[in-house]
Amino acid sequence: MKRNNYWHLLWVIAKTDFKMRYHGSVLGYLWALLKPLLMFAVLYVVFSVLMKWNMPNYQLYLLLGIMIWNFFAEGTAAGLYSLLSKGEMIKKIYFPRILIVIASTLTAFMTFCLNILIFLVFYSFSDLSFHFMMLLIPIYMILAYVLVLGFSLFLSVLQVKYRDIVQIWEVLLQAGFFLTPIFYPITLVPEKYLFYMFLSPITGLMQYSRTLMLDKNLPSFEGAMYFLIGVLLIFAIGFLVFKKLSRNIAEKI
Amino acid sequence: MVIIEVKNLYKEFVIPHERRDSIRENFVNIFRPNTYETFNAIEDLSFSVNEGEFFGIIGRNGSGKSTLLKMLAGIYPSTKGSVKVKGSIAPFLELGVGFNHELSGRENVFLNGTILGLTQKQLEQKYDEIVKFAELERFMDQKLKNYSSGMQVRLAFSVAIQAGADVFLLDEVLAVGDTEFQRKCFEKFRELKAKKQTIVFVTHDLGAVRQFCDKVLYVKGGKAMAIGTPNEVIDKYIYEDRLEEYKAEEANQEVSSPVVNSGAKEVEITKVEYLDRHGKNNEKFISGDPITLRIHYKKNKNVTSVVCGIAIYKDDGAYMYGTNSFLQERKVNLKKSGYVDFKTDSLNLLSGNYAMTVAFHSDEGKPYDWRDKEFYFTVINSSRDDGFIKLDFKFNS
Repeated sequence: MKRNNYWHLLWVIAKTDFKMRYHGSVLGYLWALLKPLLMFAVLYVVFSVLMKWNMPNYQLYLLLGIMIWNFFAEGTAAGLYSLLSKGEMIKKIYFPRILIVIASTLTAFMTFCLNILIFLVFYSFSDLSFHFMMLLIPIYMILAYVLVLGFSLFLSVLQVKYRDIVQIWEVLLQAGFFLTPIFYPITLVPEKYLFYMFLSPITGLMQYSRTLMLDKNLPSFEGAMYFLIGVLLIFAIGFLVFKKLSRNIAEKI
Repeated sequence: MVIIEVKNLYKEFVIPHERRDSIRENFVNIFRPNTYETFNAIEDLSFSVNEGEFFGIIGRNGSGKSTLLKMLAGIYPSTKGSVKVKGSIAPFLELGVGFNHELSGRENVFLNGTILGLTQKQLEQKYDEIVKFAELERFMDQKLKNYSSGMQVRLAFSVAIQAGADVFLLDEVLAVGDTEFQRKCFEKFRELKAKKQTIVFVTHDLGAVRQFCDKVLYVKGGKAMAIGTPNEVIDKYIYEDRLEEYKAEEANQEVSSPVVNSGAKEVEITKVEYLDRHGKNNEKFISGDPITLRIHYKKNKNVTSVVCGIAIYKDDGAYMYGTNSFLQERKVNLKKSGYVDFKTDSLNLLSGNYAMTVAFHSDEGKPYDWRDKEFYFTVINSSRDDGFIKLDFKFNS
């Protein structure tokens, strides 16, 4: 296969995956969009109505948090299974294996993009106004994707070797849902634990996105550097592990 | 120009005695290291394929043919040694890679075609041709799961043959399917061969090897046993196990077997056809059917005496039957060119692949044209009897 064809292949696999995921349900793609909104409704009722939390722009804060988390959880889950689910293809034909992981996470990314559009619709109905700094949104989204891809690369090859990675990852995601400031304000967290929370780049991603969207501000220079290095480090580790373990993947599947 | 170069290739598979594929199992057994053995699927294999060559790979089951093909395709990495391929490769280890049953036939053409390396533009151009070749015009918008398996194979093959790569790797899977489909496959092979397409071809069908291949590699236990022209290699493949026996026999007996000498072509065999009960050309027969062997010849020189004979061998080399015009006390009248027939009303063989020797020689046995086991045909059993010969014993009590 010629090199410039790989992009086309990537696109076709991602498109097929996207089509297949919501196939058979009448609402089709709508499900992809409804899921975070439903989660939003539940969490909003619990924390805003029942527990009477009061914080400015809580709806948007919560919605953005859920959408980012949703992308992270679904993207890595799809990435984790990507190699196994394409096993037959891997055993029969050669192309760079990384395309499979990229394609399956791209599927989640497409949903994420639609979600962000919905968020912007909600945003336009709020008291906040659009500002020029929001032009940076795509950069944040790309960083989010690199983060998801880094985790997926790492998880996908390990899943082939150790079939219980998926269970472990599910537990970690569950824990991550509560340890990441998705539905609670980060100000609730005692200062001394903040460092540990920001160890996870997903916390940084979430907080800095909110800083951008809701506070119309950029993260501090150290914060940004810290976050960037975290993302790149995870991607680098994922990539290297993938490169090493995917060499003889066709024999292991 | 050398297009594929394999040098001192090794492939070692590690087979653990206990399969541990979860973190839990590895953790529980942390102080009990797993033991394993290694298996050499490919050992010190070297060969090269030139551009435009039809290269065959033969060998018994488990000899490493498919592993080798997967290594050529880049699916398995090598343990040691190198595989160098110049240009692009289209591997057909299986038809319809990536076919998705929930998608329509049309979508699958684009999906499968892309995986095989075709561009969107090429696929759009060739789409009509693909559909026409598969004879599925009416079904392209239906989901693949509603296709019969035959329709799926047809569609997959039609896409596959459109793949434009420098090298095609064909596994024997291409030769499955009904006779009609096989005929189509072979027709396409002939076309590709005429177009000087470089092809690497793995098969058990020795007839196809002899018919198509320019060069053949015989693999056994992951090692190359022979590389060369089809005739040499197939001989080696068929007789190899018996070679030792033959040598011992030859040592005991001074009687030498008839010299296999292809002759000076005073009378030349130009073509051998098998005609089935409908008088049509065929290579497959049902046991008990009538069969005509039509031997086309050309007389290059006047000869005083001519005998025409045939001999039939089982594919493991066992001599099954032989006859000639002399034994039947018939005189052979040769024209400048034409054909002679051997005809039987009932082919009393059960199932199997058979090789046939056809020869013209003089009364004294001097060969004019002697084609040793160059022709193949297949017999399909019509009853449930076992063995090779149709003797039709009927049970009675």
